[in-house]
Amino acid sequence: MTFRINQGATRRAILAACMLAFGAPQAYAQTRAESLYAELEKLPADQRQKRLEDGARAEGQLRLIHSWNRELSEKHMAVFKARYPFVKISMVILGSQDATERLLAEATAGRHLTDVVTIEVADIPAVAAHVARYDTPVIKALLPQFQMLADKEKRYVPFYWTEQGISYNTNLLKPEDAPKTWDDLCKPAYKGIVSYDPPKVRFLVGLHSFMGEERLVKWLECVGKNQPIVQRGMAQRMNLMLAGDHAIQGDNYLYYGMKLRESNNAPFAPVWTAEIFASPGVGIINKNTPYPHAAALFTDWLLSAESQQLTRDEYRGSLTLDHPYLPKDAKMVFVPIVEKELITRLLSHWDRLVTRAK
Amino acid sequence: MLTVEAIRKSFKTKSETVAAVADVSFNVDTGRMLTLLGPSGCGKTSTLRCIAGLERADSGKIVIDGLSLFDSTANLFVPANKRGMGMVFQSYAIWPHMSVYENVAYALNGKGYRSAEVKRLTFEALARVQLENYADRPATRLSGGQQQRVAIARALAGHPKAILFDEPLSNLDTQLRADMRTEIRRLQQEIGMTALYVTHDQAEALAISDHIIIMRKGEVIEQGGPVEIYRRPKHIFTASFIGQSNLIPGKVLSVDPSTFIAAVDTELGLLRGFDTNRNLQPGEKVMLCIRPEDLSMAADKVQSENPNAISGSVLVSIFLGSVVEAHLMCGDTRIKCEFGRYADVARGKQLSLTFAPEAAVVLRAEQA
Amino acid sequence: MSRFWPKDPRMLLAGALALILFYQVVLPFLMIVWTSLKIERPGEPGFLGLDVTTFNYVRALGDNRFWNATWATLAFAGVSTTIAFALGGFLSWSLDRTNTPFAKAISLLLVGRIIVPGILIVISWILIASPNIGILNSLIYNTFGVRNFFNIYSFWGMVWIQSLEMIPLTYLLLSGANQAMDPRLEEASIMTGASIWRTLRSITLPLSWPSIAAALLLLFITAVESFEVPLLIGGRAGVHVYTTEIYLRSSTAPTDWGLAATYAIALLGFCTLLLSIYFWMIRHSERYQTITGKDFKPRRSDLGRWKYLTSGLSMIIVFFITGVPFLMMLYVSFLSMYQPPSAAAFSSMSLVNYVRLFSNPDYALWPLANSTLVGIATATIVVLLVAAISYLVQKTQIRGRRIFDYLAFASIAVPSVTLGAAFLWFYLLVPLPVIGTLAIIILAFVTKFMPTALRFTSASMMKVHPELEEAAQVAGVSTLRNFFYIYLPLIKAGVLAAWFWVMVHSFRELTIALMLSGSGNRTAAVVIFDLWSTGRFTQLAAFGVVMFLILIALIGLSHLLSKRFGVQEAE
Repeated sequence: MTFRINQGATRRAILAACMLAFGAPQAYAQTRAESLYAELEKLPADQRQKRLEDGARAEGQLRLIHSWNRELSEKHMAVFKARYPFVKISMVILGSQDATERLLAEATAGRHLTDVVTIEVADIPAVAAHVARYDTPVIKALLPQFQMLADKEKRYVPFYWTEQGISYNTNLLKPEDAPKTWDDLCKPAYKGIVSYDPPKVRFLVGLHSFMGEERLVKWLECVGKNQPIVQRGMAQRMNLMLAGDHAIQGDNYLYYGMKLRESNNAPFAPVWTAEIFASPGVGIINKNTPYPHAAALFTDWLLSAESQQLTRDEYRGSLTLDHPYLPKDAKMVFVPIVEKELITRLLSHWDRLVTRAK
Repeated sequence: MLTVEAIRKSFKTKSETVAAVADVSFNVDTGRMLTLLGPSGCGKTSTLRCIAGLERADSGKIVIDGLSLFDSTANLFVPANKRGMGMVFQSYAIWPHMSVYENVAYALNGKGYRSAEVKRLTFEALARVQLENYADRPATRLSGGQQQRVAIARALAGHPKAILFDEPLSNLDTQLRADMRTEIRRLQQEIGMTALYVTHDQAEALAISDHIIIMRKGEVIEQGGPVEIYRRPKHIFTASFIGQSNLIPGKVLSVDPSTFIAAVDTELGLLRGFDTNRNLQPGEKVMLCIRPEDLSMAADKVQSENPNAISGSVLVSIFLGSVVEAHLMCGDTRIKCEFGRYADVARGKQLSLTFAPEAAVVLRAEQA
Repeated sequence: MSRFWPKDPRMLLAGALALILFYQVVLPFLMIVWTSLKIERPGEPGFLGLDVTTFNYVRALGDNRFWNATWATLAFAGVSTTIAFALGGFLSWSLDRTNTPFAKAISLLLVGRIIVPGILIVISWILIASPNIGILNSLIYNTFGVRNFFNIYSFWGMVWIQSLEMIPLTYLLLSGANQAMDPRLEEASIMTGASIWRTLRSITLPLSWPSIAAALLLLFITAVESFEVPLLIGGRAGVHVYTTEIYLRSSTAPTDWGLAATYAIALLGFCTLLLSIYFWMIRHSERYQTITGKDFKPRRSDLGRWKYLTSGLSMIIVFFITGVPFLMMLYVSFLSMYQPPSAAAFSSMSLVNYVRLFSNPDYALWPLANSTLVGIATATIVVLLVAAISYLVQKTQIRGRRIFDYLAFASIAVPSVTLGAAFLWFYLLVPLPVIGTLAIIILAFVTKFMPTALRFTSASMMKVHPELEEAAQVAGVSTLRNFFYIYLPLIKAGVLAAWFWVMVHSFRELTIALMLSGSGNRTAAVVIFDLWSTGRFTQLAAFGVVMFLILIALIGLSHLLSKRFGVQEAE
């Protein structure tokens, strides 16, 4: 079997097959949803809400990709259904990156099978061209310290945040022996007992945002020499640490450990003295959605009191309510959106200094 | 000499235990060919496989040349590959990935022969079956008959103590089968090998054997030389299974104590035949068996004092080349007979037949 | 018969198969090839432009990491294949071909293991043999005072898990070969005075060579393609193979489809090479046609006292393959959070995981039902397809028939992630309403599982003598009836093995199901992933236990049924 396509006939055959498959590329223009949202901006709050509800009732359905885990997503949707029983939701659960990929695939193919997606803000640049510009008054509910999370370009609506940081197994380390800062992870005492996920953009960009590139490279270099444990699967790694596999986690969701400590008395403790990376999760609307009213109604609802209460109860960071366990003086670092070149560079630093470290 | 004593072998199915071989004993004299003959399912192949060591009998004893191969009382079982026997299979079992030469030489390799010796013995065995010119052929490029010769050469090559044939000719066509059985008989006599032959074909058994054992349902019915078995069967099953027989039911009237000629009352009248078992009593239900070729046309006037006469009209006649076969209706009984090829037996013709009392046998009827 | 009917119905079959293969294999492949030659993503303007580029190839092949990964992949796959084949071959021989006691029960446990999700197996081994928390390590430490004797996070740890994973496949593939072997050929060897060993070496193995070659090929490619073990163990062990490189290099959104496609093409080239070698090796397949209309019952050698040794060894191997992960799963399934065995752990045990799993039917029961449906549909479609393909390739003289074999086998070269993406793209672009339904999963699975199933049936088909069909044709039987009434029953062993294999793997295949899943078509594998990704190992273990028991019950049932209604085995 060969794959040469230099002959004219073969080439035309392949092209014909592709044409058949792909159809013509679509034109870019303002969509129905976008013109609706532009119109809504001019309405007073109560009229706006009534118009959304009436429209959503007429549309009657919404297709959502939620990036929370299934159990949590289903709880979340149950709350929504109690408030707006007339919108029938069909929901797909995908991780943020896969959700992004799915929306992108649908958009480039011109098949619009998804109306609203919840993703991490870091994934916004990949789908920016396909989201509707949506300005909503519910943004005003954000606590003052979270106001800066609102997008100036109105591409997304932030509705929760997750924190990642250093944590350890309290059966294996006494509090006084635990690391205090990110630089501590380089100490010889922690050789071979600190674990990380394979490179996560969010993690590297978070470190970069307070270390700068030069210090980050040095840090990666000494982490790489300190025999790091690099293992895929955040939840799995957390369970392994708590079972005594290793003592310290360089990056993992703190809320997950806190939940396990609460429900199972797990030997978990976060290191509050080191920087905590906060990454906002956002709702976005497909600009080609055929159900623009339901999509907007849902996106607004994400910041409603009942939605936020559930978020807080599940230890995801609420943006309108106070945090259940985070100390006031925790050093929070919001992961910024950065350009692609920096991401590529940071990933290759990690690859060279950590993955391939001997 | 190969001695088989009281071999039993049963197989379990999901619901019951079936006795495939029930108490079979016989001897094969050195240099002789013994045939186990019987319809399929009679236990002949199981017996053979027990002797080969491919199956383990439940009880009994197998001895070859004074050497015990199997003895259930001593818990002795010599595995098949240590018994020093050769075997020829129905399906030839020629190894398709080897040449003719390799198939035969395989039996010699690993037995301490030098390679020149292996080559000599292999070609000797191939020469015996006239395949020495085919040595380099892939075994699959041979005809069925040639493949069976390879199998025979393979079984012969190691100079086995005995050679076992498991229906070796049943996959061949009729003409080839006749040729091959002559060939096997020639080889067996030429080499003087001890052989045990299994077949369901009575003609083959008669042609090839020194001694025949008739089996049915796992049991030995009777045994003897081919002529004896054919001429003087002691069992009604043998008479009907081997060759063709007209079976005429009747009742014993009397038996002559010196000649053992029995007088039998049949629906065709009083007929006389030989009591092979020499123990019939008057009044017993019997079958008078007469072979078609033993019936001859009576002279124009039937001798009234000759009791062995049958008359009837020709139902059908078939010209077979060497003979003419005719079926007569004698009352309600259909009688098959054979005449010389010039006989005039047109349909409907009235015929009188006669036979010598010594040519017919009188056998005790089986209880159905 | 209609006058529009072609003269030879086999041509009709060939035409139909050509269409199906074109649709199921060639079209997705064309997409992958084209994508590998473009900088633009599928659907983007310019994607259809004629300007192709070698940019992706230069990127992939010009990187040292590609070649390091290639070497690691070859080593990993080579060693795993060798071990799996040696142990699987031993099991196949001692369970199918000797009078080893308990052979049936051992093989049932061996085959039942296939359904246990790969993720769970890997986790089990982590909990057994990882440093610090491995149960085996703490046993050794307590007994001999040696700390961390085993380290599952190593090349050999990966090889160990992967080998055990592939032994049931080896066993299934070789069983088919056993049933196709005329036992008289071996008896003929025994009767010449050859030992069991010499018979095995000189007769059995050479005659089974086509099946053995196919098994080796398939095992090797399975290892090359394996993802769970390299991902969950290899990362920490510092062993980076092909599949994990693809994953690492495409794990930032938007996925670099061009590069992923290029890797797939490289993998495809590699597999094509292996396949050509395989075809070259079995080019004299007519030499192995030994079936004469009978379904053979393999000859069992009497091992005498050695049978206790083979039984013991088989039990030990199967204990590692099935027993160890199952016991681990069982233990974990009663806990609320994983902890090494201790008095406290045992006192905290409860059935809460099982209750949680089945209290809401949407959560686990419907996906199990979906998987059953997908499994049965996929297995049936695949088996009919591959049986028809093996028939066409091996028993007809149609020109170019080898291409069918290549095509149906080619998709083994495409990693699941790429195949899943190709199907998603394909059906996003083709306006058929299959996205989010079970249909799209079945369609993708058909392509995914065709290669393995094809090896099962073609090994059986190879041994069917053509005169059987000729006899039927002389009797005036149509080709179609012929296929259903002559060939399918004759290659029953291969067909059943293939059906079973596909059915079970439809339950397990994660990547494709995940990529194509929607709200209405969640399968068991997606439940597994949900549980894994949210760290609910204890519930996952309970789910694994349930799946395992269901499969064992199904196999047991089918044994009973075939005993009751099946043909009595003749002497």
